[in-house]
Amino acid sequence: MSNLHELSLKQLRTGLDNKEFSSKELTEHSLARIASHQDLNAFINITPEVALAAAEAADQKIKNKEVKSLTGIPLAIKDLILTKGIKTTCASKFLENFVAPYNATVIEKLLAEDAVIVGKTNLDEFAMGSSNENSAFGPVINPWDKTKVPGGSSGGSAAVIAAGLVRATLGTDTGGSIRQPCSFCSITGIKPTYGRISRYGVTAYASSLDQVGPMAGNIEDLAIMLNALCGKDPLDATSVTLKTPDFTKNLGQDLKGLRVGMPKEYFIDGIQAEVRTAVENAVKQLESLGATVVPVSLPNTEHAVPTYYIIAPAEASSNLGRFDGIRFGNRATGCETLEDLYCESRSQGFGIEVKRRIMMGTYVLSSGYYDAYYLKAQKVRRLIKNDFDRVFAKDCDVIASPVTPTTAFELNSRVSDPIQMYLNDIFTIPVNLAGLPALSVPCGFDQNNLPIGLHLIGKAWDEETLLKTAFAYEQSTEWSKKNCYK
Amino acid sequence: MFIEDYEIVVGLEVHAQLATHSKIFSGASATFGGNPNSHVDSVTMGLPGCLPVPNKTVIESAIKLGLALNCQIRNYNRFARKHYFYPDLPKGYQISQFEEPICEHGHLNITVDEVVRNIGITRIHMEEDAGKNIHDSRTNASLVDLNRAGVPLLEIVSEPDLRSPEEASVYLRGIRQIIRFLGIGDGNMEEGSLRCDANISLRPRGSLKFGTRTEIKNINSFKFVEKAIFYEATRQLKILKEGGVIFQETRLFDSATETTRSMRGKEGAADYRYFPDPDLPPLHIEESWIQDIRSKLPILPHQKKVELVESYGLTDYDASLITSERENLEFYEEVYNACKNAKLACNWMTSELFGLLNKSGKSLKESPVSAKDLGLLIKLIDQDVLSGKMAKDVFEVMFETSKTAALIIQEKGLKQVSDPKEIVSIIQKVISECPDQVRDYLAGKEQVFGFLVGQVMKNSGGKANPKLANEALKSELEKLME
Amino acid sequence: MNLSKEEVLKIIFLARLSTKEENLDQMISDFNNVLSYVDALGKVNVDNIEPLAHVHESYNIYREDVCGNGMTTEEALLNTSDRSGSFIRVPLIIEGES
Repeated sequence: MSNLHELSLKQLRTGLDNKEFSSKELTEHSLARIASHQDLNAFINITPEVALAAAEAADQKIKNKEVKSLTGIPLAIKDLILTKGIKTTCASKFLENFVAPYNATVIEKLLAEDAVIVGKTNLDEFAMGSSNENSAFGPVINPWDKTKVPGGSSGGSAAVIAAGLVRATLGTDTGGSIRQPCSFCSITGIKPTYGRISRYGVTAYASSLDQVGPMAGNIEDLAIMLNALCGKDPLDATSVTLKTPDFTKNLGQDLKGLRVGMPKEYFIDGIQAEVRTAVENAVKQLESLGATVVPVSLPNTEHAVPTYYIIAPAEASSNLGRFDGIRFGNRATGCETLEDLYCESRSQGFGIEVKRRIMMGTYVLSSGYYDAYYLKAQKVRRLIKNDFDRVFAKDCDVIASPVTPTTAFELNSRVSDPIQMYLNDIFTIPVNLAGLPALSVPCGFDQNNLPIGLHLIGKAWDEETLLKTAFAYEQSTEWSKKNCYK
Repeated sequence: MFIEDYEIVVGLEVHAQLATHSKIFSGASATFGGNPNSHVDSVTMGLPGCLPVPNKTVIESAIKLGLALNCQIRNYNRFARKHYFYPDLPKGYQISQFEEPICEHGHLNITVDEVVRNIGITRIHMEEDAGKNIHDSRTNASLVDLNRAGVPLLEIVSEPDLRSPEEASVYLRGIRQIIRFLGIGDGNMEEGSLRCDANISLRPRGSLKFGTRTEIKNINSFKFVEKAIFYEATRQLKILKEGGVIFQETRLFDSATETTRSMRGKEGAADYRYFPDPDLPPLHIEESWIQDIRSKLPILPHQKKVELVESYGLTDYDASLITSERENLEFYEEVYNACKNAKLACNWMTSELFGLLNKSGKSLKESPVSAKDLGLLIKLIDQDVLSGKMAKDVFEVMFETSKTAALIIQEKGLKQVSDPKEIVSIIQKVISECPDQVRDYLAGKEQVFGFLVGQVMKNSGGKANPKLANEALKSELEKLME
Repeated sequence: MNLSKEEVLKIIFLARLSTKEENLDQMISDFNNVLSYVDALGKVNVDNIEPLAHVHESYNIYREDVCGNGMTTEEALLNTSDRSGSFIRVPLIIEGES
C-alpha cells in the first residue's frame, strides 16, 4: 500500500489488526519516506534497526492477538527525550555523542504500548527557540514552504507529521514549543496540564514550565497518544496523582452549553490580519456548533513574555549546570585547570541562544538582583495565573486565541533579533506560566498557503473539554484534511 | 574562656549523615564505601532528565533531631538549589534548604566543669552530600567518586554561644550522642559521617560586640576539635595583639601540623544563586505528623541520666558514663533486666567489664561476655551463690571463653557453700583447730575474729558464703561464751 | 539597565562560559538588549502578591526509604570520556578552587 502515510492512528490500528499490512511494511514505508525527505532535516538520528526489530516483535504480537493501543505504529521522538542505548543530543554540540543510559518514563510508556520508534527529531538546542534554527545540526525546513521555518522548538516533530513521515510524535512545550510548530505546520498538538505527564528522562529546560505532549495529524490521534502518556510517575515529584480519563471518550459530543472566552488582549493590533480573521472565523464556527462566545480579559498578558524570559532562563541556567564536561558530553581537550575545563567545554558545546539564556538566568538569580528580577517575575507569574483562574471560575470553559501572531516566517529572518523572536510566543507563554492545558488545531491558511492554528486553552486538568471542542471544530471544517504530502 | 584579655566565641556547623538505606533524592544505595561510582543512579550522576524525589525517612529524621534539640518544626518547607561548579557536585547545584529550614530556634544544654550552659541551635536543614575528590599530584589529576553524592545530611548550625574549645567539643559530643540515641545516624567522624566546621572569633573581655570571624573547615576527628579552635584562637590573638586585623575567610585545618591555613579563594565571595527547587513540591509538616514522631521518640540521654540517678540510685558520674553512648545504655539495661540490681549492674559493667575490654583493646560491641550473661552472673552474687571474689574469678573465665557463669561454676565446682549445716561443721573444725585464738576472742580480743573468718573461708576452699560464715561463726562463738 | 563589559564578564565566568568568545561584544550587546526588555517588569505593581514557584498546590510528595532503579558503574560512566578505572578523572583540583 502506498498511501499508508495518509492513514490516521485509528486507521493504522484497524489495518494492522486486520492484517491489511504488517508493522514491518508500515515501518519500512515510514523509513523510506524519511529517507526521501532528508532535505527537511527533521531527524537528528534515524534508528532503522531498532525500529524494524520492534516492528517484527509487534507483528508477532498482532499475530498472537496481544494488541495494545500503539502496537506496531511508527513514532518519532523529540531528541530532548532520553532513549536508552540511542543517542540523545538535545540538538546540542555538547551532547553530540551522548548515548542515553536510561529511558524517559514517556518512552517506557510508549514501549509498553508496543510503539515502534523510528528516530529522534530535530529541535532548537535544549528546546530554546521558536524557529528550530537554534539546532547544532542545522534548521528544520517547513514542509509547506521550504523557505519558511517550521516553528520551534519541537520543529522536527511537527515537520515529520506534516510531511507524512510518521503519524504521531512527542514534543515538549515550555513556552509554546508544541503548539507553535503545530500551528506553522498545520497539525495538532497538545501541551497538557503541568504535572499530567512525567518529566523524568526529559532533559530539563525550565522545570516549572516544561511539559511533554503528543503531536499528531488529528485530534482523535492526539487523544489516543495522550491516553498512553499520562499518569503519576513515582520518579517525578511534580507529576500528579490523578486518574487518567479515556481522552477519546468525549470526542463527538456536541458543544451545547460550552462557553468560549475570547480574551481581548489576544486580539490586538500587530497580529497578521489573516491570522486574526481565521481565528475569529473559527470561533464563529464553534458558536454555530452550539457554544456561547464571551469576551473576557486577561489584563496581565502583556507581562507574560518578560516574565517568561526571567523565569525560564533562571531555571535553565541552573538545569544546564550539569553540562560541565566531566561525567558526559563535550570535554574540551588540553585544559590544565578545572576552571578552563568547565569554561571551554561549555563554551564549545553550547550555541549562542543557549549561552544567552544561561547568562540571563545567572544574572537574575545572582546576589543583589534576585529580588528585582526573579522574585518579581514569580509574583507577576501569580498575577498571570490569577487572570486565568478568575475567567475560568466565572466566565468560560475554554479560551480561544491565535497560537501565534503570524504564520511561519522566513528562515534566517529573525535570528539576529532575539526579542522579535521571543514575541512570537506571546500567546502561548502565559499558558505555561499558569500551568494550564492548551492545544493547537488547524484553522486556515494565509494567502501564501501557510497554515494558521487555533489555540484553545483549558482549565487545569480539563484536557477532555479541550479535545472535545477541538474535535467538534475539526470535524466540521476541512482544514485538517489538507496536507502537503509529496 | 579567656585568653589573655580576649574571649573566644565559637559557633559550630555540624554535618551529620543519616543512616538511611537509600539516598536523599533517589533509590541509589547510601551505604558507606563501595567501589568507586557503584552506588549511583541517574540522579546521583546528574544525568540529563533525572529528577529528585525526597526520602521520607530523611524528613522524619530531621523532625526527630529537631524535637530532641528543642527546635520549632517549620510547617512549610521547601528545598532550594545552591549553585557552584565542582567535580564532586554532579548537577552544578546542591539541593539544600535556604530560607525555609525544617527546624529552627532550638537549644542543647551542655555541662562543662559542673556549669550548665544553654547553647542555641539556629537551624537544622536537610541537604544532599557531595561526592569525593581524591587528589593525585603525581599524575596531575583528581579522581571523582560519586558514591557519597546524594547521601542525606542534616546541617545543624549553632548560635555563636560556645566560649571555649572544650565547650565546643562537649557540644559536638552532645549532638553526636543525640543522633546516636535517635538511631538516625552513626556520628562517626573518622568515616566522615559527622563533620564539623567552626566559626571562630575573639572579642575583648567584657565586649558585647562580636569580632571578625574565620571559618575553619576540615575538622575531621573529635581529637582535633579543641586543637583546631585553640590554634585558630591563638593565631587571631597574635594578630590582634600586634594591632592587626582579622580577615573574614575560610581556613583549612591541617591535622598533620595542627594548624589552620587560608584557602586560596577566587576573587570575590561565592554567589550561590539560591532559588526554590522547581522539581520538589513543598512539604507541609502538619502538627499531627510531628506529634506522631514525638510520641515515638526514644528516651534521650539527658532524660535517661536523670532516671538513672533518681530511680536507680546511681551516682551522677556513673549515670553519665552509662548514657554517654547508646550502646552503653542498651547494654546496661540488658544487664539490669537480667539481674535487677542497678548498682551492681553499673559497677560490674563500668569497672570489671570496661576494665577487661580496655586491657584487651575491645569495644563494647565486641565484648565476649554478653549483657545477659553478665546480668546472670550478678544475679548469682545477689543470690549468694557466688561471693564477690569467686564472681571475679568466674568473670575472667567468662571473658576468655564466652561461657556462661552457670557452666563455669558447674565445670569447676565453684558453687558457694550456703548450707548452714555445712558451714557450722567447718566452723566447728576451725574452733577445735585454733583453741588459742578462740580463747583470746572469748577474753575480749575482738580483732581475732577476722583471723577466724579467714580460717573458715580457707577450710571451705573459698566457697563458704562470707555473710553466712560471719554470722554462723559469731553465733557459735557466743554459744561458747555461755 | 545596561551592564558594563566587566559586569557581563563576571556573569560569564559565574556561568562558566568563556570570556574568550569570538563574538563577545555581540553577546554583551544582546544580553543588554534582553535585559532592557525584561526590565519592563519593574513597573508592574505586585504589592501583597506572593511569588509563585510551584504552579499547582501539591505537597508532601516523597518516597519510602528503599533502594531501587540503580545503575551499574558501566552504565553510569557510559559517556565519561576521561576515566581512571572506575573513577572519573579531572584536572588536579587546587584546594579551595570552586
